[in-house]
Amino acid sequence: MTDNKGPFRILIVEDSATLLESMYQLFNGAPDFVCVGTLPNALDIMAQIRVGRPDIVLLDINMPGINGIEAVRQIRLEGNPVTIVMQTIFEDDDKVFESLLAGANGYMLKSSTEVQLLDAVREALLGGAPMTPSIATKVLGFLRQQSNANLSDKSQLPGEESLNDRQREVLELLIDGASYKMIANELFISMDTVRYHIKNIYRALHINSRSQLLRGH
Amino acid sequence: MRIFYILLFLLAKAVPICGQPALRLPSFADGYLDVSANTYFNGLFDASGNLSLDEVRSKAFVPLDSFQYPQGALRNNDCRIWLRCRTDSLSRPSQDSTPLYWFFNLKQTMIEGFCVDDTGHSRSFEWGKSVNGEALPTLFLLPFESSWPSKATWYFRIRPFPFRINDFSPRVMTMKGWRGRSADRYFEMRIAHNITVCLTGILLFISLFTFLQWALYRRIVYIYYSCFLLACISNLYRYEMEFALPVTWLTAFLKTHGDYINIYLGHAFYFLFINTFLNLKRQMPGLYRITRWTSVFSFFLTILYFILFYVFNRHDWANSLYYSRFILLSIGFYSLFAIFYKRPPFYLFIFYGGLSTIIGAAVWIWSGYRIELLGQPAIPYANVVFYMGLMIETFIFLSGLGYQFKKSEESKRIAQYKLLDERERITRDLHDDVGSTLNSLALMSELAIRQMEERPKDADKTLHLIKNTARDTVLRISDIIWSVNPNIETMGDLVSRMRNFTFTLFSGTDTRVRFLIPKGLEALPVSADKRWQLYLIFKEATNNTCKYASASLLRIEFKEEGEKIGLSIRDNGKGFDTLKEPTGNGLRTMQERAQAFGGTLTLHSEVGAGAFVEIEWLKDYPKV
Repeated sequence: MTDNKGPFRILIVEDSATLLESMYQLFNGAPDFVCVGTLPNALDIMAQIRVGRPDIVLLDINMPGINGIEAVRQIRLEGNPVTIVMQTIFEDDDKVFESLLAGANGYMLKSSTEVQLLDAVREALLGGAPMTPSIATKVLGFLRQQSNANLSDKSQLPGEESLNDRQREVLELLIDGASYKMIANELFISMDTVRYHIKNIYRALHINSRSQLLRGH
Repeated sequence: MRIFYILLFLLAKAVPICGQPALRLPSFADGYLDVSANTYFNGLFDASGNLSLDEVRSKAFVPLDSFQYPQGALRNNDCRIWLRCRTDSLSRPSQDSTPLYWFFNLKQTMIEGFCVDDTGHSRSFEWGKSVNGEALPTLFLLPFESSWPSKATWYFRIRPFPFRINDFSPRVMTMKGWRGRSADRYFEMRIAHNITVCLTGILLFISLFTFLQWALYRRIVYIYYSCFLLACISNLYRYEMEFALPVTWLTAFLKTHGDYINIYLGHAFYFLFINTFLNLKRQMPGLYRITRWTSVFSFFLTILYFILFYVFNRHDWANSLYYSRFILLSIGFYSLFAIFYKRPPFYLFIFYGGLSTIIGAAVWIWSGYRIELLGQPAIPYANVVFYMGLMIETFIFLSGLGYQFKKSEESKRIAQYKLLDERERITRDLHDDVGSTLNSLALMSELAIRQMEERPKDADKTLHLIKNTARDTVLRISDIIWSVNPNIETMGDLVSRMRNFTFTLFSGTDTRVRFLIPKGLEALPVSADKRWQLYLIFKEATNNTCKYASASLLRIEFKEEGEKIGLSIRDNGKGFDTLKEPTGNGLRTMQERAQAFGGTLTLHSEVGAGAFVEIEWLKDYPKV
C-alpha cells in the first residue's frame, strides 16, 4: 500500500487500556514502526487519520461508540487507501469476514505472540492476510452467491471478477483442511505462490463487495 | 377404528360448513298457485303514499282468502306448495321513499322465495319477522327494496321456521281466522328459545373472555378464536335472537346478509386459529401454506360479497358464491386428513372439540331436514343440542389453549434448568482450567521476582514458562467463550472451528489434513454441551496425532446414519499399543467427555498401523 521505506506510521484503536499500552510499547519498540497515535474508541478516527497520516490502522472490532466495521466503512467511504488491520479474539467470528468485506486488509488475533502480531501487520502492509479455513468457506460462499446474482441479471459491473480455477482450488483445499505447505505440495507450487493466490482472492473479494454495494444489495 | 372416527368427523363437519344453499329452488311437481299481484297491490296506499291499514284489511287478503293449503298438509309441515305471481308493473307509491309491502298474515312461519326478472337474473329472499312482535297474529311486511325488478315473476313459499317445534299453524288467513296455539306447546317453544338465548349470551361472554386472555398473554391465537366465536354467534343470533330483539340496523343487517359474511369470516378465523394452535408453520409447513391461503381466500370472499351486493347489487350471484363453500369444504377435509395423519402436538383438542360441535350441528340440521324434506315433526330441542355442542367445543379449545400455555411454561422452565446446568459447567471449567492456571501464574511470577534478585539466569526459564502458560490460558478462555456463544448452534460452526484448529496446529508439519463432511450435515443443530465436549475430544485426538504420530495423513470424517452422527479421526502414523501405553489421562478424559453427552467413543491403535478414534452420538432435533 505504501512505498516509503522508512518506519511505518501506525495508529492503534483499542478500548482496553492495558492492551493499548502493551501494543504501543510493542510497535514503538519495533525498528520499522512508529506509533503516531492511540485512540480508546473510533469516534473521531477520521480526524486522527488526517492529522497523523498513518500508513496502517489497527482497529479493534468491538468498541463502544462505533464499532470497528463501521469505522472501516467510514474510512473507505472517504476513499482513504490506508491499510487497515482488524484485531479480534475469535478468528471464526462473522465480524471478521464482515470487516474484510467492508474493506479491511487483514486481521490479527489478540491472542497471538508478538512475533505473530508484527508478522500479521507486515503481511497486511504487503497486501496479504492469512486465510483460515473458516474465512475461506465464507469467501467461497460469498463469491458463489455473487456469481449467481450475476447470472440472474446479466449486468456485470466493471471491475467485477470471479475467481480463476487456481484460486478456487486453493480455497477448496483450505476448506478441505490442508495447510499452506500442503497446498503448495499438492499443487506443485511454492508457498509464496500460495500467498500470491490468496492475496488475489482477497483483492477479488474487495472488488466484488464494493460492486455489491453499488448494486444496492 | 381411527378411520371410522375420521370419516364421522369429516362427514359431520361437512354439514355446518356447507349449511343450506342460498337459493332453494321450488319443486314444481308439487304445483303452484297463481296469484295476481296487481289485484291486491293497487289501492293499498293513499294519495300521500302512506300505507292504509283499512285498505289492507279490506282488500289485500281477498285473493289469498280463497286459498287454503290441502287439508292436513299444514299439520304435517307439508308446505311445499308455491305461490307464483307475476308483476308487470308494480304500482309504486307516489313518493319513492316509501317502501312497498307484500302482505301476509302468518304466525310462526316464514316466507321464502325468489324472483326471476325478465333478463333472467334471479335473487332469493326470506323473511321471518313479524312486525308487531311474536305474541300477536299479524301481518308480515316484506319491505320492497328499490333494487327489485318491477317486471318479474315471484315465487313464494310459506314454511315453518326450520328449527321450531312441530306445532305451528302456517296458514294464509284473514285476521279473523287466527286460532291460538295450545299453552303447553307454547311454553315448550319459549323454553327452548330462552335456553338458546342464554347460551348465546354465554358464548358471547366466552368470546369476550378469550379476548381478555389475549390482553393478558398477548398470544394472537386468542384473538383468532375470539373472532371465530363472534362470527358463529352473530350467525346464530340471526336465527335465534331476531325474534326477541327490536329491529335495529344490526339485526336487519345480520338477517339479510349474515349468512355470507359470518360464514366466510368464521372460516377465515377458524383456519387462522388452527394454524396458530397446532403451530402448523413449523409442524406441517406444506399444510400451513394451504390453510394460510384459505383464510386469505375467505377474507377475499367476504369482501367480494360486499362489493357484489352493495356496489353492483347482483344478488343473483349468491348462488355462485355458494359453491365457494364446497372449495372451503374440500380444503377443510384435506387439512383434517393431513392433521390426523401427522398428529401434531395437541391435535386431540381439535378432534374432540370439533366433534362435539359437529354432533350438535348434525342433530340440528337433521331436525331441519325432517321438516323440510320428510315432512316429519322436528326433533325437540335440536337447536339446544347444537348450542351445547358449540359450548363444549369452546371449553375444550380453551382448555387446550391453557394446557398448551402450561406446557410452554414447563418447557421454558426446563430450558432454564439447562441454562443453569450450562452455567455450572462454565463455572467448573473456569475454576478448573483457568483458576488454577492463573494461580500458578501468580506463583510463578512471585518465583520469577525472587529469582531475579537471587539467580537471574533461572528467572529467564520461569518467565518463558509464564509466557507459555498465559498463552494457553488465553486459548482456553477463547474456547470457553466460544462454547457458550448463543449464535453458534450448528454442526457447521463446530466443523469451522475444528478446521481452524487443525489449520493452525498442522501449519508447519508434513501432515495432510482431510475433512470429509457429508452434504447437509453442517446445517444440523448441535447442543452447546455436545459441541463443547466434541471439540475438546477433537482437540485432544488431533493434538496426540500432531505430537506423537508423525503421520502423513489425518482423516477427519463425519458420518450421518439415521438418528446417529459419527465422527472418526484416523491417522496413518506410528500408532501405539492400547494395552501397554500408559497414555492415561488424555484417553481417559476423552472417554469421560464422550460419556458426558451420551456418546460412545472407541479407540483402535496398533504399533505401526496408526490410530483411530470414533465417536458416535444421537442427533439433536431443532427446537420446537
